[in-house]
Amino acid sequence: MKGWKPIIATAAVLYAALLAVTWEFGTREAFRKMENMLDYAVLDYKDTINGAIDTMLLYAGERLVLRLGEPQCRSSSYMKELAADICMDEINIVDKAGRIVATSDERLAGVSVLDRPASAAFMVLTNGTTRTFSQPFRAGAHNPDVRRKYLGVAFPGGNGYVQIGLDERHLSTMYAVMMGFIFDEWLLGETGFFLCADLETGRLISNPSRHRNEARLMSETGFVPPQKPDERRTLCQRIFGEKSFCREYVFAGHRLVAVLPAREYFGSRNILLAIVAGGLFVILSLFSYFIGRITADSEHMKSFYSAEEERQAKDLAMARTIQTSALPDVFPAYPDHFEFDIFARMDTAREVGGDFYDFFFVDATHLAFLVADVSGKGVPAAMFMMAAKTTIRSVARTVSDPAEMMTLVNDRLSDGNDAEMFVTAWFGVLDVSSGAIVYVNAGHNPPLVRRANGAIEWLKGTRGLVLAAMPGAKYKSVDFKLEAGDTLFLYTDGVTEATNPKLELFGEARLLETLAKAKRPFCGDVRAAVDMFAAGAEQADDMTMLSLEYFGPPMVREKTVRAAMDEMPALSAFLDEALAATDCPPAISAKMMVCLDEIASNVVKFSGSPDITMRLEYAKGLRSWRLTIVDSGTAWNPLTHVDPDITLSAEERPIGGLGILMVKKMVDDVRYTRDGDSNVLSMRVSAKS
Amino acid sequence: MITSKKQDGSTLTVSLDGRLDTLTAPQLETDLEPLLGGIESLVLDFGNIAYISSAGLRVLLSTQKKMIAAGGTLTIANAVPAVREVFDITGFSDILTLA
Repeated sequence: MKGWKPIIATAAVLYAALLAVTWEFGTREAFRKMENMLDYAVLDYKDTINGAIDTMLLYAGERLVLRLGEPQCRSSSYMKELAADICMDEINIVDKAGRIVATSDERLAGVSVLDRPASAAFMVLTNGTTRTFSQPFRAGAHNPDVRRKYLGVAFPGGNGYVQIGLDERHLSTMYAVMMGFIFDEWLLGETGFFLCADLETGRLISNPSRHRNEARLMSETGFVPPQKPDERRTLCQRIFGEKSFCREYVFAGHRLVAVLPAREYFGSRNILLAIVAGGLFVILSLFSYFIGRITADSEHMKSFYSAEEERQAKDLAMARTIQTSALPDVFPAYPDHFEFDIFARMDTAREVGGDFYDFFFVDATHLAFLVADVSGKGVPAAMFMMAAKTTIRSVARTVSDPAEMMTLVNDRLSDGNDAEMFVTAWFGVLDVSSGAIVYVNAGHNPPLVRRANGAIEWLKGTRGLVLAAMPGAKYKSVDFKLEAGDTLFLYTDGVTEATNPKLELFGEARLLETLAKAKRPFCGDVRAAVDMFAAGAEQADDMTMLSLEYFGPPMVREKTVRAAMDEMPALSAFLDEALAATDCPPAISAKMMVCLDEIASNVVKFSGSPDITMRLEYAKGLRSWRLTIVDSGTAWNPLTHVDPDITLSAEERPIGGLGILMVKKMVDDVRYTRDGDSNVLSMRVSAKS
Repeated sequence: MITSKKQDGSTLTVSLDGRLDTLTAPQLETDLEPLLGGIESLVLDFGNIAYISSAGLRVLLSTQKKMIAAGGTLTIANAVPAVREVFDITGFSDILTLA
């Protein structure tokens, strides 16, 4: 037996050595994979963001070249306006010889780009074959503190080029909107994720959906930023309480952190160790380990390096973000306007289309509104939608006649539309004081109007050519009038062409039926009806709806009295009666009466104004009341008054300032303006539906 | 503004109606003043008060202070929702006894 002892001892030593080697090997391997993954994450992230910025700049550059036609001298004020128009920080027009012939930056006028090494590289654009050239963000000659990126697009035949510059800091907003959305769903390995936060405030703009938590700030996730950002350094930290490896990348005013939980990478090593320790045949273990490593790596490659599907998903996410972030989506959109209410919604489909809506005031009494549908899908459609939306807004602000305006929009969009894309659009302008509408239909499906008496009509006025299809197309406008109580309903064909599992269409008949009994605003009820009909079937197209309710001019009652205590009863009796005439519920009535008492007594006591005017406006359709009090005394904004401490006990509590606090808290909205020599305070309350 | 008074020992219940605002509050303060002698528990019946503004709150606060100084209490009874909302907004719910 004795002879076995050295053998057993040797075997034990060998076995221990094997365990140690396996441990070491497994650990190194895990680190290697983890580092690879983080390298990839940062790289991929940079690719995505740079790709998006390049696409944006390229789009702007190409359009500029088409718009300008050839390198020509332009005043710097024109160039500045142009830069502001397309949201760029710098535009230069450079001729074939490299001379800056027009620029938004006066200091550069007449300068030769050949004298500047960085700019000289752009001369490649004059060789007649290179069409675009771009440089990454870097500290500019104009201001060393600002990182600017340049992109150039050649004029046809290399006859000079247009160069546009965009500052990194101006990306911040776009970035916050786009990236936050994308990172929520962006995977890193099996369990990894991204955190992205505003650099200054630390506020998280993304919070991975798989890690539902309450964190609002980067500091709450457990991440501690290093002294100096270094995107190549792996940091080991506890994120959401779990040991993780992180990489930090700082760009455009945001901090991005790629997080890989350690367990994912060390899990395989620990399993391997357990197998070896369990006494399985050594070679088999090693063999299976290497096999495992090879397959794991190829899986790795498959899922992360050549992930075309994932790339597409990201493109899609970006397109969707572009599409939705550009739409006004705060409702009620114009609480100050008692004459109408506008509401819109867009529901995107699985494949992103190019639906959009928009509304904006072109002057004090005219509201422009539209619904449009861009042909095509994905990023190109989203980009074209942005161009169409911006063009419509800018042209509508300068050209008041809708037919003329659409003719001009069409010309601009048709110019250089090599993508063969087009837009159907229904554009209207409402005179909010009368309900008169002038509209142009550019190939869009006709909207519906539900009259105050419940009758529903199609608005089948002249239908013109779709936008961007052909330059020179002419558009005709149609006049129409909304009466108090009427509602106009615009939509895209995604609504009527929504399908159920049997592939039947929702159709116009069902839409009419739904609108006949829909409650305001119609959009929610229509969407619910479509959902019910679709019975879970996935929809191929975006669905966009816009409802415009017209209530007519509000009822107005106004009274002016001397600013004196003995006039107060008259004022309060007048308001009482005016409120009663609107069938005002007691709770709102009480609020309005208290507001009058507080504000009017302040005016009488402190303003020094000779008289006081009280105005009550009431919008029947909205069930909203607005009380406005005007005096011509000393300028005084009660809203800037510091609120009193309402937590003191009865003995120590001073009285004062309570009235203003009550007004602020009782009404839905209160605002002060100094109008010439007058103080104007408006308070609005709406009945809850 | 005062519609009725009912005394039961040292408890006085005063019923009010109308609005308690800049116009009516000073009168109420004057009217209440002579009634408080020897009263330990003052109950103001707010059942018919439609609304109260800060001028009304001022009277309630001064009355409350007087009652506390004399070792008594003030109770506001039957306040309608619009009045209760004002008490809540201003923190008066915490210092007044509401019934």
